[in-house]
Amino acid sequence: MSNNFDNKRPIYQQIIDRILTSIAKGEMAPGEKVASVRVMALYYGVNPNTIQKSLAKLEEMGYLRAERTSGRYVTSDAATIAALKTRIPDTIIGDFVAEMIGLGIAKPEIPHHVKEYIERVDKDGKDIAN
Amino acid sequence: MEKILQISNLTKSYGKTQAVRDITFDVKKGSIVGLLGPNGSGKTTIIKTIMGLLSDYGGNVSIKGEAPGPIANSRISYLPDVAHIPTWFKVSRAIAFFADFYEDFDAVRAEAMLAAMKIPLDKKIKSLSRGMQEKVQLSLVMSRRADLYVLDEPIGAVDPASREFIIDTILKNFDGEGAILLSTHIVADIEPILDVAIFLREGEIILHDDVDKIREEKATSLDQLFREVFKNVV
Repeated sequence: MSNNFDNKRPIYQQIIDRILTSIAKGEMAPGEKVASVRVMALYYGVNPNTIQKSLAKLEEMGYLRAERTSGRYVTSDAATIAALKTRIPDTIIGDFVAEMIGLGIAKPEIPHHVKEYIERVDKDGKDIAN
Repeated sequence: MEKILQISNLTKSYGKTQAVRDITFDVKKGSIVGLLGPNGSGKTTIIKTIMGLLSDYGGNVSIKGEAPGPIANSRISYLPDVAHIPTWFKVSRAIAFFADFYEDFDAVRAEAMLAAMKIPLDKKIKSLSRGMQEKVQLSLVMSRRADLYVLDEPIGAVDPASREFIIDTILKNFDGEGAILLSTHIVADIEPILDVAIFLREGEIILHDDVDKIREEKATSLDQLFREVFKNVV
């Protein structure tokens, strides 16, 4: 059970984001069958209705497709997945920038922090000092 | 969605003290509803009324069209706030007891759950730790195929691992055919599994909404909101 949800947004939206990230990373491969609502509810430690809502939205958005009898599948549409891969960094950067501003770091300062950090890590993003 | 439980204008007094006042809400099939409030806010009074344990109340309570009483109770699986199985029973006898009492009890499911927790069936309940006893009770209650599960303070156990187990047990056995009404004053752990939250203060409903909507509109978790509203009480 991994219910480290942030406090400010509905849980179903946060599950949508996690699933989208998995699709973008290829952890959920194009055309792959999606686990059942029950299994996902247990995995995330949330109400099955919440999962149902997340999956229905993902279907509306075109990232999942429902087969009448056999369940839900990740889209096989390469263009949709490619578009998702460009969208996700924006979301991550958005959260990051909001956090930094929340810490009282002025907007023009943020790129300096990023640059300094990037210089400190190796190609996999691991801190060289450690 | 079909309404499993309907409560309208419920009022109950003990002598001159009004325990609950003008309580109205329903529980729809497939949903999990939380009755949230500090001790003494009226949670247990509402639950006891549903279970037919209190008479002399005002307003209307209906469980699938049935007034509280033995017929309604046969459709409700109830976890009271105090231990309800005789503690001198062996675990195996508690299972047999439930199987005798409730037609909708799934003994195989209960045994599987207890085995997963490595609880020996030949041990007396009183020889188990308090946390284990609570797990046995909840496993038995959740092994019925009832229309309504009424869980009064299911997360009494203090250690976080037990809480996780309890939430897991509830989710594993909740198939969308029934509905769950649960009461608690510890909101954080239960928040991710609730559809609807009802805040009770001094016997009255002060908030009643979808949890998603609360988070969306107030941009705060249910737990934070609960702590804010009841900051001088809990």
